Amino acid sequence: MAKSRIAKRRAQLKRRKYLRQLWDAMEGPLFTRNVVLTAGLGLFPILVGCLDGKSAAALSLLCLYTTVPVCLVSSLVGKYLPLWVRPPLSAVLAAGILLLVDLGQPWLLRTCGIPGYLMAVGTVMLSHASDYAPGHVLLGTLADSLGASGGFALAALLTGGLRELLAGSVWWVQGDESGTLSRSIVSQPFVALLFLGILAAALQKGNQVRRKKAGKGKTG
Amino acid sequence: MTCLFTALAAFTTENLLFSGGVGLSRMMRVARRGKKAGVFAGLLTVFSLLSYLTAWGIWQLLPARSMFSAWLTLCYAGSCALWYVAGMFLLSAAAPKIFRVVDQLMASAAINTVVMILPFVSMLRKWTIWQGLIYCLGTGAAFYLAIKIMTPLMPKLYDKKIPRALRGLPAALLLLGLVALGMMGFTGDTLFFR
Repeated sequence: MAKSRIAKRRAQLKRRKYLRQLWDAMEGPLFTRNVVLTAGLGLFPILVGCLDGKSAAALSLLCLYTTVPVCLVSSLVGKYLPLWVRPPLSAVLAAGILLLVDLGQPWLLRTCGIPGYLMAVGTVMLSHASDYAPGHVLLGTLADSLGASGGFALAALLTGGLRELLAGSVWWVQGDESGTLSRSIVSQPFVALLFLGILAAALQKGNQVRRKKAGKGKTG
Repeated sequence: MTCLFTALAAFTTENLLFSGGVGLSRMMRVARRGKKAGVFAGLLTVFSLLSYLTAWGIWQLLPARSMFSAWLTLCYAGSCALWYVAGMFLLSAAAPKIFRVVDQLMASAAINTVVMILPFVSMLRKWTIWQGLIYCLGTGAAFYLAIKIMTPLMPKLYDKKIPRALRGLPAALLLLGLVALGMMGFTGDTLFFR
């Protein structure tokens, strides 16, 4: 009786540890080690493609559609392939998925334009499919790829939302004249780069505070 | 004359890196390592040219119904992958010494947004084959210049004088944003319209 209770408790602890590891694999690229804001991956689609909320959402979906399946396939067969073969295979596979997406949901690629097509060689997908996925189990890879896609979506939606807010906004009024921020300026890459820089700094500060608190908690 | 202007555009107003925001992730990674900038830019130029020529061949063979289609993207991705694999085999067999120097850089130089976007840009601008080829060369040179500018700056972005929250990637992004803002000056755009 006591033995079975111990075994049950052990299994429970093991399950909890496993779930914790899965959560860490997903939470890292999603937030604390955000793929865009700490690793600098996936910059091009955000700089050029996320012009408003709709395009940001479409790009986020494309990132999810390409990253998750390619990472899962890479997790299953990646360890049997040499390291140098993985990136080209991932790119071709992602381009194939884009073709299927175009058949099923053509509005996605139409909304995104060129950045949407170039998700086939997106650095978020390529780095996670080539580096992380082959050495990890399927569930871990699923958690990581979902986290990476979510992290990309977070940065994309924030940038797209900011651009939508800024476009056409009035910055000064002098008599009859007013200075309005033009849409063409807001869609320039420098706006997104400066915004991502500020976001990355905020995240870095947040991580520092969190680490400090965790350190204090351990010593206390 | 048109080709000269195209080459100039690849360097200035139409600079893919700073005006177009293409390939910044790759450029920062190479600049962080600080070595083999020339080798990487050279490989990128070669793969851009090869992929562009293949894309040109595809356009002649397949009359595309729409300018951009997922079929064409698959063809471009396939051509990038094929040229990369061919390059790996060729170099490892014919020039093992060179292969040992470049094998770590080959994948990121062959399969990236810079190489893939060139056929799209060429289609969009309705360029001739020569204009496209010159643009590929100009883009390779612009990439080299960008890495050369960023490489000495990267260690300074981790300097202790910079506040901890801004150190590293945030500072790099802000710096690139300011450079891109400067590049916008070439286009003559104004921040506000009245």
